Amino acid sequence: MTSESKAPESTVVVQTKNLTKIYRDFWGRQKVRALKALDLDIRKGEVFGLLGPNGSGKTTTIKLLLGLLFPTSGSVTILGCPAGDVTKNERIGYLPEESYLYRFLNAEETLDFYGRLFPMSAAVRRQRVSQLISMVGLESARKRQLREYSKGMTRRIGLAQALINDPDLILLDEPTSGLDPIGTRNMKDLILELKAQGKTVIMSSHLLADVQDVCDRIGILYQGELKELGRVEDLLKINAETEIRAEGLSEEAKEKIRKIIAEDNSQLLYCDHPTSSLEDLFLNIISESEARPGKRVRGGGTD
Amino acid sequence: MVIEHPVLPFLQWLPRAAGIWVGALAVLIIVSMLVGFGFIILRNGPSGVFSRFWTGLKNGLADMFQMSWQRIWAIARLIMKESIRKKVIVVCAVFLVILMFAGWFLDPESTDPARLYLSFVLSTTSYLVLLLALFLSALSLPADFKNKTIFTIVTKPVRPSEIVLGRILGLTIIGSGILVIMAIASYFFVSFSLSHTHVVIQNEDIFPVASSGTTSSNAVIAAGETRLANGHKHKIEEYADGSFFVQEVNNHTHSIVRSGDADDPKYTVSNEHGTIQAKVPLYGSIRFRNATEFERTAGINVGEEWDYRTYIEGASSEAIIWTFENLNPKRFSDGVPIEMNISVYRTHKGNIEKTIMGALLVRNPRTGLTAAIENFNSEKYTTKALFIPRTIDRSKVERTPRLVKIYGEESTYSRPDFSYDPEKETYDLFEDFMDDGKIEIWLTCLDSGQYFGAAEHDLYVYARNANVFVNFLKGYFGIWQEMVILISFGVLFSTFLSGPVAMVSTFGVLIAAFCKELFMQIATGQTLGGGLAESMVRLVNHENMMSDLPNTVASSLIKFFDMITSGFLLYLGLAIPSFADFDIYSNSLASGFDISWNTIAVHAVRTISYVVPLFIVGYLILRNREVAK
Repeated sequence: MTSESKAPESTVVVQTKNLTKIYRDFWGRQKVRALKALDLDIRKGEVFGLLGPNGSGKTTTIKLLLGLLFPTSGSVTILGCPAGDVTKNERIGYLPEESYLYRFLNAEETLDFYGRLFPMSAAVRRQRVSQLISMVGLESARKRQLREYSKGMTRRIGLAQALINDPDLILLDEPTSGLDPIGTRNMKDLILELKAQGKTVIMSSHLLADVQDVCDRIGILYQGELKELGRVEDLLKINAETEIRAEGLSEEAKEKIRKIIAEDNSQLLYCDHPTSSLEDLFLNIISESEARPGKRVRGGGTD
Repeated sequence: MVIEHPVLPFLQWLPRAAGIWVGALAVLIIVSMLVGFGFIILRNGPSGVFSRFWTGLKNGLADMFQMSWQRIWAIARLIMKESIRKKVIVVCAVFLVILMFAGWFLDPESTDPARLYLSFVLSTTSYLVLLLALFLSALSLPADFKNKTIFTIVTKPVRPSEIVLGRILGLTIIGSGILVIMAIASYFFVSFSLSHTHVVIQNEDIFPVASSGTTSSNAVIAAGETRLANGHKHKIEEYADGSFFVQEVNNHTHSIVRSGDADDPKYTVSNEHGTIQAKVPLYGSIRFRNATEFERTAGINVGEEWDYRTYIEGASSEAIIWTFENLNPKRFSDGVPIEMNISVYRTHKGNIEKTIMGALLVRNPRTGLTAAIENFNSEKYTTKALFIPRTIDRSKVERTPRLVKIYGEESTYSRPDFSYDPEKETYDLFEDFMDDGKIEIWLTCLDSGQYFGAAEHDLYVYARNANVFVNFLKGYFGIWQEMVILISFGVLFSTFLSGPVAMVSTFGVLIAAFCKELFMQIATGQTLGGGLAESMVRLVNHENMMSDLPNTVASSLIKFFDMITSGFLLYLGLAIPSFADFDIYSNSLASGFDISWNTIAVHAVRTISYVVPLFIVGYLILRNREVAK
């Protein structure tokens, strides 16, 4: 288990305890163990990334948090409510894996419809609708039916509907999938902006660069098990190694440095733990998990 | 008009119906609680079962009683938009095309063209609307699941109850809109199709009648026939005062206006009136008097399979008696118009051209004072109109009272309070024949060996005419109710079945609802040839329905299977509405009767009583369904 320090209850936005999901077939036989005993605390104001290859249980986790799936065992507390409580949704925004929207509505109608599902006045709703449409850059397409939208546009309107209620907690399932590099950049900027507004963001992705850029903490899932959890910079540190960077060293000097290091009596220009890329870490965890299934690879990051 | 299942007065019907309904709802709630209890144990094991149950119950109550109309309306709007954008309006276009072509095939020259046209538009509308309701309701929610748009709904603060109710509401509004369009189109189609006039030309169609010397205003000065139109002519007579008599043909007449010079008059015949009617009937309660003057609830069974009507024998003491309690002397100040559809059963042909004679009488229910109003020729399959005048001449009043004896109460009825006053010239219908607001109308058959048959609704007082267009809309209300019930079933099935399966299931309900009587007969084993399996075996083996199956183990197994399934069918059948009950709307409209507000009130409440439990069950299923599976 991870050795996380306990955060005060008030700042914990999402808490799962021993959360397990087993998919069964019609006869009740076990098909897939999609999630195994997940314990997770997500705190107010952080950007949390769920990372894992396809089929690792990221989406299952998000669906369990939202009450779209019922846990086989364990529990979820989200914004102080159980996952099945609909009132919690007033403060939640959710962008699904693909934007599942009504294709016969146009952008304005879509946002207006979702706005009507929240207790807000018509004036506020109208204001939010036009604000969000301009935020996601769809002013020119606001009257076009979604069936005519490109994938990127659909994604953006999907994001707008997730934010219609000005939520405190935002769950983004693969937010950058299907977006071009500029769209991806904008999405990341937006996530950081949401963070700056003090909102909590939970995102899942298999695109490592996205997670590395925006997330404060990540959890790596593999085959339904949480393999890694911690701050991004901590996780990427390689504790057993030291990196030295210098400028204009001669071969002799290098030899000397080696000696000096051997004698441990010199001034280093730069000395720190080198960081691997997240990709390395990720692939490393996956390969080790496959070699030794069920065993946690590392002790976990510390805050 | 045949009314096999009369609608009770609302206030009389409501307490019993409400009692049954509340009972059924209580059973539903208890069963769903037990199922929920079992569900919790199955899913989470026995520990903490009560606290989980309590939480579930609390949530359920919140879902029922904290629904937000804003969200329900948002979902209803969405469903309406979806239907409109998916071009359901095409159904209306299809309907209009059908109407256009129907003009080729429906015959306005038939003897009762109004019935033909009205039945046609009603059945076409009902098929189209019900099919549309079936498709829309059964496919809408599954499409949301399939496209996963439901994910974006349930992750908003939307309760499952709001999703179900919003759907029922939205689909109902869309269906109602389409129904209204079709109703109005039908009304104009029927009116225009039946609308016609006739040509009448002096000295070609109408000829002056030689003056008989009298100068009274009602002397006939000209007579003849209109020209042929819509396959019929009307006999016409012109009176000295300028008014016309126009013979009624195919349930309608025309009015005629004469203009121009006295030498060269022009006759203008108006469009027909009376084709589509909305007669308001007042019904009495029926009983029979047998040959020994005793009261019976039914008459003689002459061996007809359909036991709707029972019979009385001609030239005997037998009579069919209707007691009317609701005749207002102010409304019927001139007298009481009566209409009746009497069935005739002949035990011998005799002269087949000659109709059977009957007599219409009125009787005071307390004194037994009886007056023979009129003898009439019975005509089968036609509505006979008679008139009971307010003032009844002494010659018509019988000198001895007519008795109706009741078994066990012979003494009280043997001497009714009666005295015949030979001095009295005329009798008043309401003063002399009404007692305690009640008046009896008797029907007897005068030809020996022949029988008259009637049921309660075969004789009625023709009180007045109601607005035809309003009645037309009322007639479509029957279809509306079927539609709402079907939508509720469709939405219920769509909460847990995939689109096509939900559609087939809803279709099954539709069929069962139309044939509920047969369904219940199968469920209760009243049909010949056994239950489901047994009749299937007979079908495959080409066996008749009467002889018993051979006494083998296999047939015992078949019978056991049927016993189990019939019990299941019985419970299923109890939950299925009977759409035959809604026939009263189309029947009334086609037969030219006003549909009473009482009928509408009773059926509206019945419709709601179906929608509510279907909604609750749909909600419970949706709530306990994993949306993302």
